[in-house]
Amino acid sequence: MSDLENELRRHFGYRSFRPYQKEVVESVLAESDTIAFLPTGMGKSLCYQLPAKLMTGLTIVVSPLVSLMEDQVIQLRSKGEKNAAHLSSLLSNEERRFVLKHLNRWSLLFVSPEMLSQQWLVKKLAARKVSLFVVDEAHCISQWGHEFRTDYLRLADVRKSLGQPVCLALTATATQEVEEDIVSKMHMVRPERFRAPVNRGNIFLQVHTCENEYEKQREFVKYLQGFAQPAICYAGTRQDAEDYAHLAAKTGGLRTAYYHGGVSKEDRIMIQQQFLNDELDMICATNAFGMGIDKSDIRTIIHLYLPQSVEQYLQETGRAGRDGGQSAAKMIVAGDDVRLSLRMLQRDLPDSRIIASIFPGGLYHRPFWNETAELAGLEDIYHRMLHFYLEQAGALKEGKWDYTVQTEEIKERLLERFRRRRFEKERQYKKMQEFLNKDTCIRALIRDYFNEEPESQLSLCCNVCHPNSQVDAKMNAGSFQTDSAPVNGSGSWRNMLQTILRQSEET
Amino acid sequence: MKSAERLLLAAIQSAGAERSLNGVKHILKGKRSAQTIQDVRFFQCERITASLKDAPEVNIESIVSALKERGCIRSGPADTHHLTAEGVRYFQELEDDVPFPATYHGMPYEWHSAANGFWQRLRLLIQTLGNLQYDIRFFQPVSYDYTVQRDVKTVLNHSSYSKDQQSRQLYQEVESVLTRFSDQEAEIFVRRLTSAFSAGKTYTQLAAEKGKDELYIHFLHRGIIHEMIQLSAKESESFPLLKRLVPAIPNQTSVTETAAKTHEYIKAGKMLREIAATRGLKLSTIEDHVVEIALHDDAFDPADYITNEVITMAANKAADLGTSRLKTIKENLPDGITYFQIRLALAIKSGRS
Ligand SMILES: [Zn+2]
Repeated sequence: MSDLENELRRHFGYRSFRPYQKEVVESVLAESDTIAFLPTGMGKSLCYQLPAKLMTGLTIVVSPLVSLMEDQVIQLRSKGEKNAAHLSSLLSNEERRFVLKHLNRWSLLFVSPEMLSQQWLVKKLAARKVSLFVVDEAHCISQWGHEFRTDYLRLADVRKSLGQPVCLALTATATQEVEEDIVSKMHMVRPERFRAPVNRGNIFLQVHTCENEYEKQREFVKYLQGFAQPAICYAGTRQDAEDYAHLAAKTGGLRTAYYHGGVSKEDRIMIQQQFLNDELDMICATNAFGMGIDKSDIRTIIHLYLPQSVEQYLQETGRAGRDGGQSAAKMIVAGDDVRLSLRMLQRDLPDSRIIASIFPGGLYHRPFWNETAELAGLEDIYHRMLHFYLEQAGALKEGKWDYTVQTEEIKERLLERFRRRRFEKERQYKKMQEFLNKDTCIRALIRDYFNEEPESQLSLCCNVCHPNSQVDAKMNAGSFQTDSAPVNGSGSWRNMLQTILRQSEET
Repeated sequence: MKSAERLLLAAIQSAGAERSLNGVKHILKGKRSAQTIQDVRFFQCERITASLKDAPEVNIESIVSALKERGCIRSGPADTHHLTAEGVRYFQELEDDVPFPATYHGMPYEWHSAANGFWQRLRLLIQTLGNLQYDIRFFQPVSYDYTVQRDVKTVLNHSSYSKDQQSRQLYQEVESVLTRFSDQEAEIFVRRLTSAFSAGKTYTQLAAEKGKDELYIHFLHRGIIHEMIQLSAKESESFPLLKRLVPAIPNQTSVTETAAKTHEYIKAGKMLREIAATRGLKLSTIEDHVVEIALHDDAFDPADYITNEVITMAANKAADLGTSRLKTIKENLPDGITYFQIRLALAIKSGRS
């Protein structure tokens, strides 16, 4: 066993690396900038968790998914790790002060990009030796990526302020355009590149198009007969998530829960734990769910909406079958769903009407940016995005409009930028719509999109190649969950409470 | 749905005829503003105050329009509402179907989120002791909140008793409170708990099982929590562990952070308009702050904004008319007295009575 494998075992208790992990870790330890494309579930986080243990300085991980960072820190802590922390909007002031006050204690620090855009924090971090700068979900840095975030554009500067530590960029899926964009935007020097194939052979891909909602529900109910569990079912709206959870419980007799942004945090944590404990057969969720879930035996992913890009589809379906067992991804969509996704996609960017209204001469324009934004009723995401661009273009200084610059010109540039970005998103969405064509192998479409080589023939490829197949519960016999033991004991509430706190009868 | 309707009917019955729907909403959501605190006192609706603050989401607008459609409430001027005869009847019906727990008291326990803080600590303590009792050392805590984790750790570590003795004590305290409730209520409480074997059930799941709505289960659960806090204060020697789980409650008289900032500027001699411009806020927001400060701070001198004469006049007029409806008061006062001044006058009178 090599030294690295010994360290892996010592710190994490694993006997061997998963594909690409060792190469990535070695590259980082050799102080090379590294970019790695590892599909969801391939153990991305280990690629920085292990170096954080072995390098002398601090490892900073930037991720846009604040709840995912929080989940990771909680999971690490629950395994006895005491040197990991996170800084994000989810912390109270008191917690944030605590994390900052004990900065020297952490070897692994997760930070949200919004936090890193604050100069004082960067200064504080720069006072420590930073060994590794990790950009998670690195596709967010690219205009060509499917979820571009303006805050990510500042990361190259932040890295420079921290003394240009080794940079590790991680993402699940990205085209070559995006790859080049990441390398150049992060100023990476001759990076080592690792790319795992995005096609996961153990997931049977199915797409079913329906005429209308009624037919969609029928197909859903039909599919539940004998399908493999546990499952995540992604819905396009909160209401759909609730309705389909209800439908699955009623017609399939499944233990279900729904999960979306409107569910309280308390319940979201409980539902995650129920799912991990096998107390649930299916979770119906908006796409907020699943990223932080460390569950390897998810058997089925159902899509009730059309993802906005092939990347998003792969990210979500990739949550199935991480244990290597036969799994399935089933999409059931109707014509309305195609339009719904398009509408949501268009709403991601402010339209020209909004832009015109905030610039000088516009209805909502005021000398202060905050006032302008409030009057225009800008959603948080628009607010941050426009603030970033306007500041970068010099139209805003310290929260006030600067009338000495050519705002008209800046407005035109901004409109053009959003127009291009919208066009790009629509192009990505069209690629996804090709999945509905019914005559081309779905894997072939994915391979084509990512320029990958064909793999060997699969016995369960997709519903174009294998139209009459279904992955059912029996295929993974043994791992199949039978009815769980009575939870929290049984009988009266007194008995249950006794079981929970391990009290005997006579107390 | 039914519980939300019941709550809205109760709130509208108390305050709806004099306050806009927004004002009613602020009472239920426990908005920390001078106006809301005044309203709660004036309408004596302490029991349901802040009942939707830490609760499952309720779409108040859609509940109100459903009630309108049923003919239970009718709208008056300025978005006020009152119960119709049918409304009174339906309210009665709901009282039987989804009663509000007798032990529930919003103002003392929900306004400052004491109940939520207590519950988070209690469920984490039970989860922790429950796991330790089965020799499980590492598990995912039910609460991610750092202060909750810290407080529970303090309770566990600063005790001369063994974990086993603590578990027994906790069992006895919880059991003795639950005994005061029906078996069904106690069962709901216990099944919500997270143990070494089970994550527990959410309100939604329990509601589906019982054929009730989520909010009903939530209120029922909170009724038990409120009772626990109250008992642990009243009979503290019988509930030493529960008593230590009651979170420290912020000083009742403290104003919001943003109002405090405005107060600093005022003390520095700034005009309200200047403060608004410097802070990039609306003048009306700054005026809200002044009202809030006046309500909380007896030493605050309002002379820059209002004369003693106007204060007395406005307050007396409100008393004469038996209303705190600003529009009515303004109509019965000489011209030139602003809404801001009337609110300020009412705040000063109610804060210092
Ligand atoms: Zn195929």
